[in-house]
Amino acid sequence: MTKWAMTADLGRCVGCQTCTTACRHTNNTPPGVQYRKVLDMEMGTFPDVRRVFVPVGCMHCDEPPCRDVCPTTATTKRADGMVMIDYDICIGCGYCIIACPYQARYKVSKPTFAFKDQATDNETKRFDQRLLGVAQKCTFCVDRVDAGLAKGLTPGVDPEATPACVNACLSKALTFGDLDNPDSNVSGLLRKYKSFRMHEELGTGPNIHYLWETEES
Amino acid sequence: MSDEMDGAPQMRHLGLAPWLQTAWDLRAAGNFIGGGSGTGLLILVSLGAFAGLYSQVLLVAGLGLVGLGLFSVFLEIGRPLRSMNVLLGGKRSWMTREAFIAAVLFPLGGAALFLPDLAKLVWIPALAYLYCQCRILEAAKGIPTWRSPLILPLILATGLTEGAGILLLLAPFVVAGGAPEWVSGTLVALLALRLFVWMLYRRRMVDGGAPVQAAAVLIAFSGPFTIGGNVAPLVLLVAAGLQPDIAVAAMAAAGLAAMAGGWALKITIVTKAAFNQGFAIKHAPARGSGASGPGFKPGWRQIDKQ
Repeated sequence: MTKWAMTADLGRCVGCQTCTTACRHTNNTPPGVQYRKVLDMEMGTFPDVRRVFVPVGCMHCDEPPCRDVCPTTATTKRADGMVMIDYDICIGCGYCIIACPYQARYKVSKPTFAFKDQATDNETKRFDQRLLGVAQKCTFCVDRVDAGLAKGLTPGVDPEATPACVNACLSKALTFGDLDNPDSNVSGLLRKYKSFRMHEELGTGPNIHYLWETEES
Repeated sequence: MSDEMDGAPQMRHLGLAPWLQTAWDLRAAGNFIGGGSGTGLLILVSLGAFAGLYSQVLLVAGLGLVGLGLFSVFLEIGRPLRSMNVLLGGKRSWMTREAFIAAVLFPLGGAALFLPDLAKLVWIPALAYLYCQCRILEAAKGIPTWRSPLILPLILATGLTEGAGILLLLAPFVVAGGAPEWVSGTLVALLALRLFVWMLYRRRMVDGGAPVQAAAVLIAFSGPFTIGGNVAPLVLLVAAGLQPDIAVAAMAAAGLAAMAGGWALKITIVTKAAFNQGFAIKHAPARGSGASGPGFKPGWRQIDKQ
């Protein structure tokens, strides 16, 4: 079996938002819709303060609450772990948006563009009417992954078969791969370093793993 | 982010601490108000049928409230022309199950308008519908004030309370001889139950079960709800028992207050205390030559201990 997952090395991420930009370019998301974004966390009190950058998005959960509440079966989970939305079935009830504890889902009711009412040529060319009034979120760049696999490429290793955010990451904080393959890049990282998952106590089984102690001790 | 975009729902996703969800607004709350009050009324009217209570107006009122609730949520969906797709998810979704039960409740309730004996069966789908509404909220894992197991008894109790309130309010106008005696006693018991569950729920939310801002909303609401929505109707019912000359008016006022309290509760829970989970990390990373540190859960009273 295959189980696609991502690791985010919190010690490496510098909060440059290149992944955010790459994602928005790849998916042509409208203003405010960020399938991948990087949180800028400041914690502690002076002089003991820290700043941590945390990439977030759809966690492609093992037990996705968004799928469980969906009244239309538009949200499904593939055998390889990816949580998908069928835009032609979704009625845009917003229930999945509320059910997601990672705030990873969006609904846009009318066309919005980077420069207000005037769409750029790129936005016009890539505008997808199906996304209006329905839920949308990160797909782990499923089209790139599937097309790459069809060509015999390895997602997470070959850039052509790898999610855009991972390709764009300039500090190599983001890694994508097959969690069920013990030889994969993500499996190796998870063996080597300490990690946690966000809101794990909710029982969702999120599949973005945060590496937090990556220096050899 | 430009100021113009700040108010757009999709632009409110940039914070760290939990923020108020914007996917469901008053239209969604309307479904819980109409569905809860309507089914509460239908349950009591249906059970009352075993004691000789029968009123077409009350049945129509109950079905009408449920219908208004469904219409209200219909106005919220992004693709209304596909609304029948809501019937596809019965395997997992309580929203689909609610729709299935509505498809039983309305024909049965409609038939009971002409065949009075069928009124004795209406409580079954009405109770199932109310239960589905409870589970719809409970299944929303992203909203701490909804996913609490106590939301189930709370929504159930308030639905029945609202139904008893409406029955007491309408009965003088539509039932010969006014409301049966058991209605006011039932309302007293339901008010006590609702208040008890509310206090448990509020306490759990304030004790770390909900984000700080959500807890603050519940704290601010608790006083007016306790006094206006629960104690006041109890006092009015006692007054009605002590002063027969004002009994009809006092019981109607008690019913109105009980109903209004329940509606306010749902508006508060669905649209005002519905802060999402926010974001959290369990550990701060070691960066460079530094050491790793504790986690961070902004907007919550305490962080999980590791």
